Amino acid sequence: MPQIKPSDYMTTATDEVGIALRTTRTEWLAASGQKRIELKQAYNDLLARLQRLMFRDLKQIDRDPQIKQAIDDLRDLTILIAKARREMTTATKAIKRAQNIIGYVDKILGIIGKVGIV
Amino acid sequence: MIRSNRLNIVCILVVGFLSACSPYIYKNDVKKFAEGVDQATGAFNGLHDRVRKIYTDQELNLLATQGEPLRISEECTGVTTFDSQGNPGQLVADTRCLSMWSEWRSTDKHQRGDPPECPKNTSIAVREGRLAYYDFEALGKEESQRCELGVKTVDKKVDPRPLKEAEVLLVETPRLLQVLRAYGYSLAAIAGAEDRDALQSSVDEAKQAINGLAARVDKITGDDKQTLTVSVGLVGDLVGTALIAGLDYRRYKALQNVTAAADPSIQRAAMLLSQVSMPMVTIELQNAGAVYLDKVSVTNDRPKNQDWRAAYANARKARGAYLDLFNIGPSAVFQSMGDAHKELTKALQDSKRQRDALQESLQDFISKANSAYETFTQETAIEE
Repeated sequence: MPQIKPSDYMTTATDEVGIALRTTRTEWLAASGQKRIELKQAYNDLLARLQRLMFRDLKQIDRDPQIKQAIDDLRDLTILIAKARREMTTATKAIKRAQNIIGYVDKILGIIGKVGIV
Repeated sequence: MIRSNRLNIVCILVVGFLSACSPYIYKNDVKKFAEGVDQATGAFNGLHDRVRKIYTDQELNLLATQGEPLRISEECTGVTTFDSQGNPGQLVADTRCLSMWSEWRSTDKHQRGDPPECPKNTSIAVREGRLAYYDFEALGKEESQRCELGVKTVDKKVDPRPLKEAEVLLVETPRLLQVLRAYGYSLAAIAGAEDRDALQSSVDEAKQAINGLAARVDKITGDDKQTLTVSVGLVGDLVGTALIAGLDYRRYKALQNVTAAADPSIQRAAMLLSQVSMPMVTIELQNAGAVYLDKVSVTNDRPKNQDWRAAYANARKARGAYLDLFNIGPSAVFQSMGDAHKELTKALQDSKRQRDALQESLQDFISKANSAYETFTQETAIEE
């Protein structure tokens, strides 16, 4: 005998609410006066029940491992991008360092010029 | 001189090759994509907020119907008064202990005796008579756990889950949106010009320094023609341009590689987000549909003249509100986001490709994301 899963109960419950909803809608659209107001209320109550079942499904969809996997994949990519950006900024740093060395050489040459070595 | 000319030619060729691949022509496209992701995220969050309110309302209504009394742990507020064993809570105990230490210190050294024995639950620093700042924040976190609101379970314990469950709808999907936004921003940062400007300014400063150095050497060696200064200036310009072009090339390659590697993940994320949006849009559609049915059924009461005209106008409006939701839901926005990213990836892979398809898909994405954002960040979609 096949095992009954929670989703089987959900499907049955949804079907039950659906049948009642459809019948109520048909009657509501044809009714007038007080009966129309009562049927509207009944329809909205049934709709709220259907939505409660749908919210259960939505929560289950949100827990899908595929979503967690997608989060991990995108997070890994963002880390890779950050690494690539860091490597690019090192080009600017290297030039700054070279500039500093030129500054020192400049000073040394100044001293050499003053003492008349060259 | 011949060697210098050869160097110049090599530099020109290198620069020419590198500058053919600039990421900056895609700067605005990437920025638009990131902005679209931002708007799409806002639209999704707006829809989520609205649907969550409906959900919370229904869950709390159910709990209210059951009328189950709210419960908290007996330990709640114990920290500010006395705990459930009858001992002073930490704040009362610490106040007592501070006073005991003060009294001990005020007493003559020879008559003080042993340090005070503070009550149970006194915090360590206070017990040891040390000066320290009081950490109310940490205490508040502990108290928030102890004071969790819940309902009574069969074994008379407090179960906060039904109330927590009623407040939270989606958990994982909002996290997916966060990483998607982070991706959009990172992509825009690669295509952006900030690092390039910094490099340009460093190169300019370095060129100045090199020119100054060459002029000094020319002066020291007594070269009136300033041979070194002229050569260095020329080569410096080319090297500077080559460095910038080199950075551009690396950025371009980075954009190319990242978008190509990311595209399958972006397509998957877009489809997942579209799927999660669907039941939420359905809830909104159901409510908008019920309003439409109501506006139509009003005419069963046979209103006359102006009332009938007003009912007709209301029914048309409700119909529009109901049907519009089919076109502006985030599902279509995420599909459009996937398409825009695909076009961006293709354009970056082949720089000779016409950018029209990219522009078109970005425009479609931005316009759908904006509409969805405007719709779903409003308080309610349906006018009763």
